[in-house]
Amino acid sequence: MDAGYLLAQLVNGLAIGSVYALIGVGYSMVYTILYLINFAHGDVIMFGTMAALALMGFGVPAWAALAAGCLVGAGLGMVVERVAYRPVRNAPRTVPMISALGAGLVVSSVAQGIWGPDVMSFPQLIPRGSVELAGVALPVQPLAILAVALALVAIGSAVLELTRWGRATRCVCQDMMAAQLMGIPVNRLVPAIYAVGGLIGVAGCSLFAMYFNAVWVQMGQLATTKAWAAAMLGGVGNFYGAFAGGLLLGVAEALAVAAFGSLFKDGASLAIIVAVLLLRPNGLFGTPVVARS
Amino acid sequence: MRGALLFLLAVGAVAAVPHAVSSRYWLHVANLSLIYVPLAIGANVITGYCGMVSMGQAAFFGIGAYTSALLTMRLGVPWPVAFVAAGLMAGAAGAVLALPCLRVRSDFLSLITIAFNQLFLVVANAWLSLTRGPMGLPQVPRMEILGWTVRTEGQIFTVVATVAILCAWATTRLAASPVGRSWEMIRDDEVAARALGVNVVRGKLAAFAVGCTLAGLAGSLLAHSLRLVVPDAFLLDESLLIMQMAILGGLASVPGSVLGAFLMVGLPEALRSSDPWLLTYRPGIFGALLVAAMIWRPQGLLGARRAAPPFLRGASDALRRTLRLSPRHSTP
Repeated sequence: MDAGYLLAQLVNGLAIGSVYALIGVGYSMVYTILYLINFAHGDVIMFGTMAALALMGFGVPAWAALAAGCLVGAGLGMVVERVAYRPVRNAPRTVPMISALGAGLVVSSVAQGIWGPDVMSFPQLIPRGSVELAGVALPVQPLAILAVALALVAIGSAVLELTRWGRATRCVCQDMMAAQLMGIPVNRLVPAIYAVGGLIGVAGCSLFAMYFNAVWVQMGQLATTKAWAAAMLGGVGNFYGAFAGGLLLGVAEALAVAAFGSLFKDGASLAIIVAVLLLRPNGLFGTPVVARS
Repeated sequence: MRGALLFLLAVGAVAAVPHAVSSRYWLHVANLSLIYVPLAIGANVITGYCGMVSMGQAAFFGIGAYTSALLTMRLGVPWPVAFVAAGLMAGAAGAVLALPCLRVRSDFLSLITIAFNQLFLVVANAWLSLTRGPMGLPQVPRMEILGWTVRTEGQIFTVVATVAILCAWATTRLAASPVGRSWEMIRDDEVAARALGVNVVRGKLAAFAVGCTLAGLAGSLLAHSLRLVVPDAFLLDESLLIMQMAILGGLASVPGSVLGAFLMVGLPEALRSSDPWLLTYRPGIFGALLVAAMIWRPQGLLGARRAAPPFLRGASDALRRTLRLSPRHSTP
């Protein structure tokens, strides 16, 4: 195994890891605020990506179709929040989890009705091929994916750190009731968080689709496991932690493939989830969450 | 008294149905539904009685099916032994899987079970020397009990129905025992349960192991009645379907799970020949029902009101509050 191969694998790992992180942000933020595993998230972002693909099929320019897909994901996230979560927000945790799953099944069933169960290819908006850099050939597409993901995370963190909405979000993360007592409109903020999660998630899912050149109805389910592994590795509820966790997971998967073969790729994420649960339940960068009854 | 009457009724039905129903097709539909009865009951033990959510029951179903098929085919083990081994294997796998999550937070368990289901499929598809991968295991031997070989659909019905009844009976007994009581206590208020000296981790582990054991037993039934084991029978969708049976049929209700299995397997299967739309859109239709059930009737169709106390009661009250558009709510 030469150094060039290893480097290319590393770049691939970072790229796919950043995609996991983009998808994971939606899960992580919702979990922090509502203590809810949003099982519909994977299906919502799949739907947005499918919508973008369909628009491209109608001849809409790629950038506009992707933007529209992101908006579809955001809108759908808000609809799901309104229909399936808000009525049961105060119920014990199992209840919203199940209704989330039900909403996800509806979304994926509708998607299957519209687009069918087959795997479709996704247009390669970023060319494949490699670029020579200091004597090493590096693949272009993963580098571009990584750059896009980094840019999205930079924008996200700027919003979170600098704007009123960002401050309100951090406040709600700490203590929802206190935030409400301070006059933060929680019932407007929570849908907004679902929307942002859907928006970033569709962007991540589109990059995922481009990287593997495949879109299919079940891709949301696959993304769920990976994105959660990323979020847990970094520490659920930590925006930057989710990103770092995603990168680490991507690299770990790439190295597992390089060392043991492609069969072990999916095993890596499960092994990481279990190891994190056993050794460091709050993730690498997380802070302990106190149990409330 | 009521129990004895039900038992007699069940025995009568098991004896009479194969003679009364001549259509092989309807017997097949009934058999398939009955195979899902232990699965639904198992999911109900985990979700309805103990308040956890497993989304990987199909993997344990599959573990049972492969264990039983391989034991009989490769080692020539008699079916009843392989049947028990299938249950034990699935139960042990479940316990090992649940142990790390239960010590931390049980809502991560549902994630782990999803991941485990995907991993199971990868292994079943890739371990060619053992499972023959996507080709599956054909020609699984018929069930054979003390020299009696189960051949026709009617005979399969007798075996499958007997197992389903035994599973239902055992679970009902277990739920009424101190173990079952402690499960319900854990479900309703974990902190209070711990304060009263209930070993929460052990209780959850037992519930999970029992649920997975039942899934493994169902797997053995499936393998030897369809006589074919393929990885595609144990997809994640299957897990979700099993979970829906338990929830929609009725949480913490064994009759509810039986109803759920017949409604969600038998009904679409019965309508398959005329028009497969119900099978295609089954996940979506039942998904919508799941959302509606969580809002208006969280205890499911046959779930007892008793099953809805603190654990689930909040949902409909919250809805009423929402409809009144009152902005008041507390932290989750």
